[in-house]
Amino acid sequence: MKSSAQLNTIPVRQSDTRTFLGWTLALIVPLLVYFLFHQSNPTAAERSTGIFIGVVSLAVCIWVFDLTPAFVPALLIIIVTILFDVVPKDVALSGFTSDAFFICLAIFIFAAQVASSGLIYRVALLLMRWLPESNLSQSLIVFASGTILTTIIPSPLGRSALLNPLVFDLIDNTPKTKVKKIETTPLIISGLQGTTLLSTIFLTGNPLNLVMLGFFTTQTQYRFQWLNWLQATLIVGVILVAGYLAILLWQARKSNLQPMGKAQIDELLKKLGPVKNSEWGALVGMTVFGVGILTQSYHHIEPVWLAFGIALVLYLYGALTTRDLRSNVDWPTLLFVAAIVSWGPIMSALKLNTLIGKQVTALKLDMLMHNNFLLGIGFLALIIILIRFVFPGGPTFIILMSALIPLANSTGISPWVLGFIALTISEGFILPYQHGAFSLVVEELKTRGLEDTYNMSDILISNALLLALRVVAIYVTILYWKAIAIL
Amino acid sequence: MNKIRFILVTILVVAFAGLVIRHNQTKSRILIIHSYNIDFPWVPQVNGGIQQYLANNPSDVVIRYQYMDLKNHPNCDFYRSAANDARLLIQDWQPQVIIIIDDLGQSLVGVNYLHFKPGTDTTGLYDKFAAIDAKPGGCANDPSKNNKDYFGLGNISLPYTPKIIFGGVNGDVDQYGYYQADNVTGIFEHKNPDAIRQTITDIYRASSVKPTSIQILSDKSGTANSEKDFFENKLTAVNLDVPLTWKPVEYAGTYDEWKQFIKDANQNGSMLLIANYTQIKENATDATSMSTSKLISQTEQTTQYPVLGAATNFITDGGMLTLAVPGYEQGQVTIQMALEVLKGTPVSNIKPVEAKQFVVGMNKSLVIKRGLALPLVYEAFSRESNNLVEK
Repeated sequence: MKSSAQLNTIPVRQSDTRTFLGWTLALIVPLLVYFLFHQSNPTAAERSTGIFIGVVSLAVCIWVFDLTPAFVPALLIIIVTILFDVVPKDVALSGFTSDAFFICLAIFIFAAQVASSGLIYRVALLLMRWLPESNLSQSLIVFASGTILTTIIPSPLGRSALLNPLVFDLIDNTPKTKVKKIETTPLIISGLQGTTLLSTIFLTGNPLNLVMLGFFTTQTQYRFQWLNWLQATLIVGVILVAGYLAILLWQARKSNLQPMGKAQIDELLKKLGPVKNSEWGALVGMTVFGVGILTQSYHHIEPVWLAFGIALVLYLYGALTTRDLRSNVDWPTLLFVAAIVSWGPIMSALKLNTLIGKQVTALKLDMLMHNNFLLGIGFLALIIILIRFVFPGGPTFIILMSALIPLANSTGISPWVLGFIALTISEGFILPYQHGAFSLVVEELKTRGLEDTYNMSDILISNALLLALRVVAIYVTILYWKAIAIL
Repeated sequence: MNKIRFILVTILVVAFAGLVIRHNQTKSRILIIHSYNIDFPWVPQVNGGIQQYLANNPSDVVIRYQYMDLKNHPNCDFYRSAANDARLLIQDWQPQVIIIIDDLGQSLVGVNYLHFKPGTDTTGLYDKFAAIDAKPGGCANDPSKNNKDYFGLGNISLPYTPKIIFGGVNGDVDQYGYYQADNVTGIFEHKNPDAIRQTITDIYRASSVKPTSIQILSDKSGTANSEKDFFENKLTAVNLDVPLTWKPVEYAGTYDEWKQFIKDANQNGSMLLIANYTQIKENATDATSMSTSKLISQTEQTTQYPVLGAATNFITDGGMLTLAVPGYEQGQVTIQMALEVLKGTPVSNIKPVEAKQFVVGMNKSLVIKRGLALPLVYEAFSRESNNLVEK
């Protein structure tokens, strides 16, 4: 599985100047931040806070310039806080004992099983065989497969790596004509949006969803577990899917792509052979997990431990091997999640939330949010969209969360609502470099010599439309959140 | 995988799952719902009492805490959302006993889980509860919010009847319909009127600048609403042994109003008695209440006559002398009652009780500054209960 620890970006080839600039800033900025903070807060008690803010600024420099894998600066923060006695060790390492860490680990093990079983690929082919043979239905199946993967694989890049073979099989098997070039845009949009569009709709659709939960108090974490999370995000999801469908209809009309024939589908199914034990294992595991979540009030087992239990049972049955664990579990993302989840407790221990809260009040941001919530949301969305042209989504979101939690505390607005809005918008993208899944698809199309088969401007337009729709969906959902008393 | 391994592993997994489910189903669950947040010193005091009792009386129970944070966000939308969160937790977790601390939690959450005695007329009851919430939430005049549907109030059908233990209730629980239900008991947080009377007398005698009256000054919070009867009727009915008269209670919403009442008190020769002050806004349009330490320290500096507090946090907020009901006792008694219920004692056999303890807090330097010669027992008691500030 591809690592999403790059916070949904894959490393771009760095120019020497960019690397030099990045490391230079990484050297200067933390020192500057520390001394400036120390000057305005000279007491010994504030020294620890200064060190923490300094090392966070170092991490931000590394993230922005993509100097190392994303988990490295995240771990660096933890190590520095321990070595300089910024907070007690158990606070610094609290992310590693958090529910978010165990959910992530369990889901990754679970996802490793689903990924290695090939179940989703088979289901997609069976659906294509069953549904009418058309360009539209096959694109929809690609999107639906991506959506199913979103519920069980918390890594957009990992999902993309799993779904791309299906997309390219469909492209490779389409009847070619010498007269006209084939038009694969609807399939590419479906694959791309299938793996990314709903990543914040399902709790386990994105590691940053779990990071966000980690920023909250225990009671808010419990409040927004699987089904309650889905209940809160449902309307946004429905609006985004409606937007995707509209784009698909527009693109499918323009496309001359011929659907894969039943005979070709049969051939691919034949190649897969009979349903393997591992596929049955994946199916049973997913079913047990789903039933387990729905019957929680009966058995009182929290979903995190249920997921972990199922993941371990897969090993008991031999459905997973050590090799699967080594190759299919996204360890860098796991380390990243655990390290970032420690931020919340570290910031609380340093009373940094109070400090940021005072700044939020001084800047009158709480007044803006409280007196004109709709305008405040628009302002927040605009800032995120602009920042995302320069900063990767992950760091943008994490830094914003550090400010949004105190803002939520002082205004009484649900921290989940503010976090979800920030995350949903920061996960949107227009250009390939803004999201790893997009750049991965573009790279793969290039490698396969399919550059002439799609219309990049149409893809960019659809991305921009869906990004705008994210903002619209949030505004519409505010009414729903009020109705279900989240706001 | 061969068949034997499959069968053996399946037996192991099914047996293990069965044991885990059984263990979880039979475990006793107690949910503690605080109306306020952990940042309010009263709340850790209550939790301290609970934990101390459990440490001395080990029990096989699982405890979960829910903080509604209503003091920091006195508005109806927040009340509604916090109540909804608490109800979702109850629905998901299904605790056998729910301990609800402080008044707002009773009217926002507790009332939904009442098991009424046969023949109880519940008509209009939930709208009455909504009106209790709407007042401190600031939406009493908004008919779209001042109703039971808005706050999600109404009897909730659960596959079991949770028992409710209340604590920190300042007024009477009759307003929450608790006397009409058979699944509720708890402990009141009524202030001790005789202790307040004696302290006022002591302050008067110790003071060289004699006041002529007592002015009770309060915010407009839910707690103030619950204590309305106590301060307006019960306390003022107490005869003082010194020549002081009671002035009608004044309620302030903003800092300007508060300052005006202080000015009036100074002009009228009134000493102040302050119990509820956490929900005063510096400006009327502010989203949150002003800093309590700023409010009380400014009050202390601008009042001509001594100020007596009747709140837990009054001294750390900058006050001179306070008499307060300790949260510790509320925690101890509520958890003790909860464990009794779990052992099988019918709730109807456990009668609601009054708080027996009160604590004194004192800022010695402010007492000296005002030139008060208070009986030494105040300092000794404050020191003993760790509520003495010396500088």
